[in-house]
Amino acid sequence: MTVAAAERSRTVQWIGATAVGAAILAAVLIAWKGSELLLDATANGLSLGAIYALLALGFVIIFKATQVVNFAHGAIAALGAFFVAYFATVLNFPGRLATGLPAWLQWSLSVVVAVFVIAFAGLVIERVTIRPMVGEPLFAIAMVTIGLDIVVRTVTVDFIGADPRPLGDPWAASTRELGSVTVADTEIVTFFAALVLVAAVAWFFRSKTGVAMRATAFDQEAARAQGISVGRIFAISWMIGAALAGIAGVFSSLFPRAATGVGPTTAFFAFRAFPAIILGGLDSIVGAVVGGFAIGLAESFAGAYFTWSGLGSGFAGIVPYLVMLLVLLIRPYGLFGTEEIRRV
Amino acid sequence: MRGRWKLVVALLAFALVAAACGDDDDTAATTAATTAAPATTAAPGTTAAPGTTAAPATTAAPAEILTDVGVDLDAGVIKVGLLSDLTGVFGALVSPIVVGHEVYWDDVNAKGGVNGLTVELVIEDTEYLVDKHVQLYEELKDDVVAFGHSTGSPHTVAIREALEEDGIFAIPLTWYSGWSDPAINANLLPHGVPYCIEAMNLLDYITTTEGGTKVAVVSLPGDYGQDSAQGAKKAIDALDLELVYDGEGQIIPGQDLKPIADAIVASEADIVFITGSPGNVPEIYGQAIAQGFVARWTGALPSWNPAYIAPGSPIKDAIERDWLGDSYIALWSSPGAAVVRDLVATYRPDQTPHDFIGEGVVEAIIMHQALLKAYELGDMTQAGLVAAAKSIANLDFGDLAPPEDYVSAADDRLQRTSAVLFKPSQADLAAGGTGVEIIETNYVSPLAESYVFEETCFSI
Repeated sequence: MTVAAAERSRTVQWIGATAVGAAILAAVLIAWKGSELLLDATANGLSLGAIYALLALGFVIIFKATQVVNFAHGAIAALGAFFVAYFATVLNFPGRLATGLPAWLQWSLSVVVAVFVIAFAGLVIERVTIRPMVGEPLFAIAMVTIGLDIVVRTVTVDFIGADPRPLGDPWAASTRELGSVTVADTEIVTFFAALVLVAAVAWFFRSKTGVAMRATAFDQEAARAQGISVGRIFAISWMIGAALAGIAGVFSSLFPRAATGVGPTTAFFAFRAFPAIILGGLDSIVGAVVGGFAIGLAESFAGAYFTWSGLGSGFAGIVPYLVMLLVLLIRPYGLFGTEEIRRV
Repeated sequence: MRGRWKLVVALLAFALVAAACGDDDDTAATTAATTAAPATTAAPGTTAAPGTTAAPATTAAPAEILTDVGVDLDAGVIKVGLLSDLTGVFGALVSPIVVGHEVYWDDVNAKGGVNGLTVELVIEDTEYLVDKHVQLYEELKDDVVAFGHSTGSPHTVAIREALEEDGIFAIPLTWYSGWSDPAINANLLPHGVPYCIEAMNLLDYITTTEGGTKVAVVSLPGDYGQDSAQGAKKAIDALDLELVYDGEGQIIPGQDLKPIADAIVASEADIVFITGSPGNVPEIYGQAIAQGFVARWTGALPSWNPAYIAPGSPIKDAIERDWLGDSYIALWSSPGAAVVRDLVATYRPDQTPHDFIGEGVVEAIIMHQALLKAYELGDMTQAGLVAAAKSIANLDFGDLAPPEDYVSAADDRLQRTSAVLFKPSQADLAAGGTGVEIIETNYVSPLAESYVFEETCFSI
């Protein structure tokens, strides 16, 4: 059996074991508190996980290509959400140029414009603050991103003002019945938009630029020797990372999760995605997505089922870290992270 | 590479300075000052009384005035500190309160100041962080004569002993019932109905006028949330209601709050009493109504934010239907807030109307009265201001807020009056108001009226 075949076999075993475990867990939970709570927790976990997955994906893309741990990711997410609020509700752009379009499409176009702006902001950040640091210790670059976080967050809060800004989405507080559970339309949109974006990223990595990005992530010197512009790859990774963060910021600012829009504390939401990033593996695109949904579901299920007063509602908040800790004890590089071997 | 470092540092420094300069032009930088022995200076002449209807009159000038920190008679300046949460979880509410201070002192200064002395505000952003609050207190205490407000219950608790040791007084921007306890309020001048009594007023009013017996209580942990929750529980006991969900202290900011919303929905409560912040109340409310849950929602005033019913808010229709709140001061549209509207029209004509501007005006009136009293007594040292402030037996705010008494015994001075009860109103917002419909003014519930204050509702 080849190494690749062995790896595939191991992956299949993992997936099989996970599926069996999930089925047993579901059966136990249904027997305990019925199917309605299970479906409700699953729906919430999937929409929450979709946001975590987008945040983790953007973070991992930047890390994988540049080895930079971007602590400004949450601030960039909040800035992206602000841009959507600004384009959709203040400027009504580009909606006012196409008033005949349905509301959801007008709003989606505002999101697209805002995503381009935040991607450009990512490019500027990379060029101005990260590029000059190439070759410096990674710790120093991480410190720069902490400074960036403060700067971008402060500027964003100034932009937002004292009150939260609604994003002007057409779904507002509308809900619908899915079987026996009531789900907000925005949660459904969040989930499917995340799936589309994950698929788009997967497709991108198969394109010429995507392959160049993967090659750069694997070995920068070798990539450079093959004629790949590493600097360009760095810029593209920051643009994609910022765009994904911005979109995650939008979804985290919608009803019912943030019922009044993007506010001064939106940036901190991204920190909740860190367990997802670590769980999946810092350098794994697949891991970011799987980790995001796993953590979202774990948090949602903990909130739904661990309700006895001795634990308090805050217990759900530490479950992602417990899951992360458990997985790291078994797989120190995360579920899908690259195992680092050092010669000593 | 050294050049690149310099570039990065320079850019970051520039960005930080640019960000700090943003919209906060009025935020004064802290200036270092030394604490010196009190100086005795000839008093400046008295000037005409401030023109606002709420402002106290000018007092007679004594022959000599004692000063130490924050009052410079030669320069004609009094420095008053504000420990404000401008960018934290209550930033949306505290920012307009600071505007209230600014317009009030602009008016006083324009009309001759406090007996000829100009009042300067030294405003610092605590971000609603206790450690930063304490740090800023330590920085400002050698620069200002007193604190025009100290934002947050745990934050004010953290500096309470230091205030006593340093002999400085502060107006708590928090309505913790403990401030009514002489044992812990030595250097604090609270005003308004405490959270605990506020909860009694709200639940008594709602159950009397609308009915409902099943109550869910949910709050932030700490002096603010749990003081309010304890008041709600006292009301539930006294009014023979049923506590169907006890979420006291269960709101953990930054975490997924859907479990709390789920518990509220599962409880099938008629009334939800929630004490949180504008950052987390809409999340819990949104998660609950997303499941089709309908009930009467109420809670401590800082839980409410007019932004909930602003155009574009996804929850504006639902919360207009569900919310009933109260206020410690007359709200923007009330007749009692005419003085606030006049001040804003004169000194901040571009300011968006906000209910909490009046709170800043009330705090400034308390400070103004204390300064006048200290001036009259000839002692404008920090300690002299404490003594002057604590001798105010009856402070009348007109119709802007219920009167306060800082001399009587705790139960006698306990504020039991909610200045207004209100419901959200998009019609009022569209008409240029702040989005409230006043349904009662100066409301005291029978329960609050009969409540005997012996100790704080929630112990620190």
